[in-house]
Amino acid sequence: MATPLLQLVNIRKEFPGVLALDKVNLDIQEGEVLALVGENGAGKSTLIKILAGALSGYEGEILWKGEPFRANQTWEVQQAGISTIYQELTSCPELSVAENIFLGREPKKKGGIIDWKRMNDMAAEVLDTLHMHINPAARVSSLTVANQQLIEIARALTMEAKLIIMDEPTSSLSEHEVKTLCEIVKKLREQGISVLYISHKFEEIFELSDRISVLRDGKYIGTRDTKDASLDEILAMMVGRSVDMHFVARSTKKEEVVLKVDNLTSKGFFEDISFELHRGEILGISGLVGAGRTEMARGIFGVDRVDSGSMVIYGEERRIPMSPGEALKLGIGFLPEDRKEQGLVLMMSIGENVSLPSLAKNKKNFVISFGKEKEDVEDYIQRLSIKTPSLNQLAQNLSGGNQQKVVIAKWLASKSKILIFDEPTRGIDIGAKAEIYDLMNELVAQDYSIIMISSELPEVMGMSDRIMIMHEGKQVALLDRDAASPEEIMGYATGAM
Amino acid sequence: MKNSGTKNVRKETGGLLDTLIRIPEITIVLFIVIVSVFIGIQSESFFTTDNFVNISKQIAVNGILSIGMMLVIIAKGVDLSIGSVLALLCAVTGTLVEQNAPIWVAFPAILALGAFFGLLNGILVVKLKVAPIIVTLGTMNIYRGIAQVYSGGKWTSNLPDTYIMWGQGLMPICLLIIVAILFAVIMKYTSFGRHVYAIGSNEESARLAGIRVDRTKKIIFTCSGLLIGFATMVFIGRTGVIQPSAGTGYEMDAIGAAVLGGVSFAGGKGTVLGTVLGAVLMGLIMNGMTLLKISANYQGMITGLIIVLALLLDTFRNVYQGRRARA
Repeated sequence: MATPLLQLVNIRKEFPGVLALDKVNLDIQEGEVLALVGENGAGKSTLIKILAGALSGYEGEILWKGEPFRANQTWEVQQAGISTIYQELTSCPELSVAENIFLGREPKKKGGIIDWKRMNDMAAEVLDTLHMHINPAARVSSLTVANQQLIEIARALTMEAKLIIMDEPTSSLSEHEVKTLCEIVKKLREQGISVLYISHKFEEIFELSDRISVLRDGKYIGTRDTKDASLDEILAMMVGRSVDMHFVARSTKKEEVVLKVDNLTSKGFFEDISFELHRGEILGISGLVGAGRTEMARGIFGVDRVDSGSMVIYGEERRIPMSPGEALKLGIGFLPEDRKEQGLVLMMSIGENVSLPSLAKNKKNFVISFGKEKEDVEDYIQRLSIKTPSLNQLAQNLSGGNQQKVVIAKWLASKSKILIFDEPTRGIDIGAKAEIYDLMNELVAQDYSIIMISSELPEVMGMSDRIMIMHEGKQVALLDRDAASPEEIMGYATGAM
Repeated sequence: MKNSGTKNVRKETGGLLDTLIRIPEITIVLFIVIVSVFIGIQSESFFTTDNFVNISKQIAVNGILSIGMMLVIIAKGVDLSIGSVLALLCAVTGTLVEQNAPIWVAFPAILALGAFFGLLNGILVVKLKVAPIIVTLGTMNIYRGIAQVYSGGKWTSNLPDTYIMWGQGLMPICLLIIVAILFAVIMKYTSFGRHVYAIGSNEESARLAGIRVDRTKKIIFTCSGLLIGFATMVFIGRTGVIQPSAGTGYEMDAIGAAVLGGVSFAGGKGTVLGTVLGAVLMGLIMNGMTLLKISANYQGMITGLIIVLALLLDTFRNVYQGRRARA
C-alpha cells in the first residue's frame, strides 16, 4: 500500500477528568472516502478539532504525506491542505458567495484594492466544477443550508485541499440535497481528493465510503472495508459487547402515572410524542444529537412553546406550561444539558443557586429568611454530599459533578417531584458519574420520577426502567429495559431499523 | 462580588490590593477621603457647614437617580431616559402648581406618573425584545419632546413652600438615606432583589430556574421611574423653579455614579452602598471644581475622565478576578 495521505498514530487527548481519546489510530489514503462512526461522545468531535488545528495539547503523532505534522493554528492546517466543514456552518451570512469563498485570500489589484471582477470570475469557475448555478455576488444568507455547505466545499477546493473533513454534512439536508452532496463527494474522490466523512447515516456511509472506522468511548475499535462490512457488524463495534457499568437493579416501577403527554408536536423539531411517566420510574430517552430530545424536554418545561399536544399531571388535565415558572408550579424540574450556561448562575453562591426556584415559586418567600435558607441548603449539601467548604462558595468554583448536584438540589428544594435530566453526566468524571447514578437511584426510591435524556448507551440501559428512542423528531420505539439490546437501540436511533 | 462581597469564600491569600479589588466600596471611600483632603487644602470654604448642606442637596438628586440606574444596570440594561422623564415630571408639576394642587396630591401623583413612564420603558424592552439602550434612547427623545411641547418652553417660579421644602436643608439627604436603606433591604432581603442579580448574571439560567424574567424587568424599570419621581420633587425644591430643559445629561451622571460605585455593565454585580458612595464622590468632585473655579468647559471633561477611569477599574477588577479564579 502507498504511503497514506494522513496517518494518526496513538493519539491521546485528556480533558480535566475525562479521557476523550485513547490511542486512536487512523489512516486515510489519497482519493479515499473514509467514514468515521461512533456514538455521541465517542470522541469524533475531539478528533476533528485536533485535525483542524483547533485543539492543541494532545499526545501521539500525526503524519501528513508521510511527514510528521503538528499544527497549532487552523490556518496552518488549511495551508497544508486540510479543510474542515463543520456541522455548524461557519460562513459569514451577510457577505457574498465569492467573498466567503475567498475570505482572507481575496485577489487584489495593485495597491491592495480587491479585484472584484476576478474574484467573482474565480468563484464562478469553482462553482461550475461543482455544477452549482449560483450567482457569486449573491448573499450567503439568501442560500439554502445545502448550498451554504457547498460554498464551504468550494472554499476548500480553492485552497487546494487534499483532504476535506465533513462533520455530519447531511444532518440538516433534505433527501434531494443529500443526493447532490453524495454526487459531489464522489466527484471529489475522482479528482483524487480524500474525504473524512463523519456521519450517523448508514445509507450514505455504505453508498459513499471505501472504508469505515469505528470509535467507541475515545478508543479506536477498528476499520472495515465497506464492501465486506455488514450493518450489524458496524453497530456491534459501535456499542461494544458489554454494558459494564455496575448499575443497581431496582424494584419494579409503580403503576401510578404522574405525567402523561399526548401528541406533543413542535413543527420542525419533534412530532406526535406520547408517553407516560410512572411514579418512581426513570424513563430513558435515547437518540442521536438532533433527534429532538432536548427540544421536547424544553417544550414540556415551558422553555419553548409547542404547537400542539396535551398533558395530564397527577391525573389532572393541564395546559402545557407556557413558561418555566408555570412548569415549576406544576412540580416539574429541569436539569439542562449545559449546566454552566443554563443550569447555574455561576457568579452566585451555592446557597443562592439552590434557593432560586423556591423563591420564584412561592410568594411567601418574598422576604428571604436567611436563617431558613442556610438551614435548608446545608441540609441538601449534606444529603447530596456536595463537596464544598461552605454554602457561600460561588458555583463557578465547584467541580462538574458537584455543580450538577447543586442543580439537582435546587429542584429538590423547590419540591418538584417530576424531574427532567438532560445529559446529567456530560463532562463529569467517572467517580462523580457513579455518585450521580446513586443519587438518581435514591431519588426514584423516594418516589421521584425522572425523565433522563442521555446519549450514552450504557447509561440509558443501566439506569432506565423503560427506554424511548427518538429519530429525527419522531418517537420510533418504547422498550422495556430488559427487552432492549444495545444494537437494537442504536439501530432505532440511527434510523436503520 | 455583589451583596456577599464581604463574606469572602476564596482563599485569603491576597494583601491590600486583593481587599481593594474584592470590596469596591473601600476603594471609593479611599477616593472620597483623598478628594476631600485635596479640595480642603485648596479651598477654605470646603469644610464649612453651608458647603456640606449644599453638596448634600446636589448628591441627593443624583444619588436617588443612580439607585434606579443601578437596578437597571445590574440586570444588564441601562436607562437613558431618566433625565427626560425628570423634565417631563417637572413640566407636569408646573401644571399641578398652577392648578393649586396641594402637595399631598402632587407628590404621590408625580411618583405614580414616574413609575408609569418607567413601566412603559419596561414594557417596550420586554415586548420589542430590543436592547434597553436602544429603547431608552428612543424614549429619551420622546419624553423630552413631550416635555417641551407640553410646557411650551415656559418656566414656572414662585412655588409654594410645601413644594420647596423637599429640596431645602437636610430634607434631600434624608430622603436619599431613606431611599437607599429601602433599596438596600430590597436588594438583599427580598426574592425580587435576588432575581435582579440572577437575571443580570445569567438570564437563561434565571429563566430556567422559573424566574419570571419579563415581569421582573418591568418592575425594575418601574422602580427606576418611581425614583425619578422622588428625584423630581427634590430637584424642584432645590432649584425653586420649573424648567422644561431640566435634567439634561442626568442619565450620564447616574451611570457615572453607579459605575464608580462598582456596578458592572457586565451585569449581576453592584450594591446600593457602592452606588451612593459613587454619587457622593461625583458630588464632591463637582463641588470641588466649582470651589476651585475650574471653568465649566473643563468640568465636563474631568467628569468624563473620571467615568472612563472607573470603567477601566471595572475591567481591571474583572480581569484580575478572572485570573484569581483560574489560579
